[in-house]
Amino acid sequence: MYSITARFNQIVFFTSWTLVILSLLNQGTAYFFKTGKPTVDLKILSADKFQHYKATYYNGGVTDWDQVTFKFSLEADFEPVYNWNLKQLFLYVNVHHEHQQKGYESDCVIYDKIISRPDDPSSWSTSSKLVLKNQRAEYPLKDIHKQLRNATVNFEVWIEVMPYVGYIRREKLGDFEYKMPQQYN
Amino acid sequence: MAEGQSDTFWKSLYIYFNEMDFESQLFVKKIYKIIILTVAIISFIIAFFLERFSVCVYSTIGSSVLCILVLAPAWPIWKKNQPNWQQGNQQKQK
Repeated sequence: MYSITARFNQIVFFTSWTLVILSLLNQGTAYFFKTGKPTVDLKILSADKFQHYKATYYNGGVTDWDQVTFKFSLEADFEPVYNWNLKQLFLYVNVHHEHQQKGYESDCVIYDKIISRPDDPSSWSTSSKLVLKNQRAEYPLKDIHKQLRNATVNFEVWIEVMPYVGYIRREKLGDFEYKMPQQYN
Repeated sequence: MAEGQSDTFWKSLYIYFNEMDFESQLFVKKIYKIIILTVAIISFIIAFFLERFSVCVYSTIGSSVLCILVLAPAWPIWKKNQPNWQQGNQQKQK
């Protein structure tokens, strides 16, 4: 404490230590809050532009594939997940389909959205419920093995929980099965 | 530095803010921890009920900035109890 730099140094690093300990307490007390599982309901409305596409440029060896764009409606309530350690949620809809004989399975993300807390000043919505009606998927589902006709695909709704302090974890909220059309349309 | 050489303005300003009494050094050493810890604990409890952790972080950093401005430089408040220096040996200057 005998020089100005020594006093400055001690105050700054003492503050840093208190902030570190407060952040750990922040993460620790968040576990005592309600951390339940949100409810979600997904309905596939239509499978549009389900066709056999051909490549028009060199695509690394892939010359043709099946492609489909979905339209769906989604309702969800995220109230059980909100606590003071939560910064935002990353919601994404994943399509999973397997082919038993050929022995492959594939995952494809067709829609994603960032959801921040409703009491945050920078968020888009003011309620904790999410309602999407007749929403078109952002990314199409492609299959280079061309096995999508009459296939059973699985729609999974996932959530990635991003806190202010702590680990990022993923949770699966629901599974919904859907049968693809028999022919291209 | 040899005697008789004058300091520049910035150097003498640094020396002015650098030198602090021993008693006020003890006082500063105790009080900055008390200030920052009480502000941190109270704002943590307030932020817990408001469910906003940013309140806690901003108030802790603000209290530390306040401490730096008031306690780190040697303002005249911290120069009140000067030590009693002994008389110099006059014969050496010849």
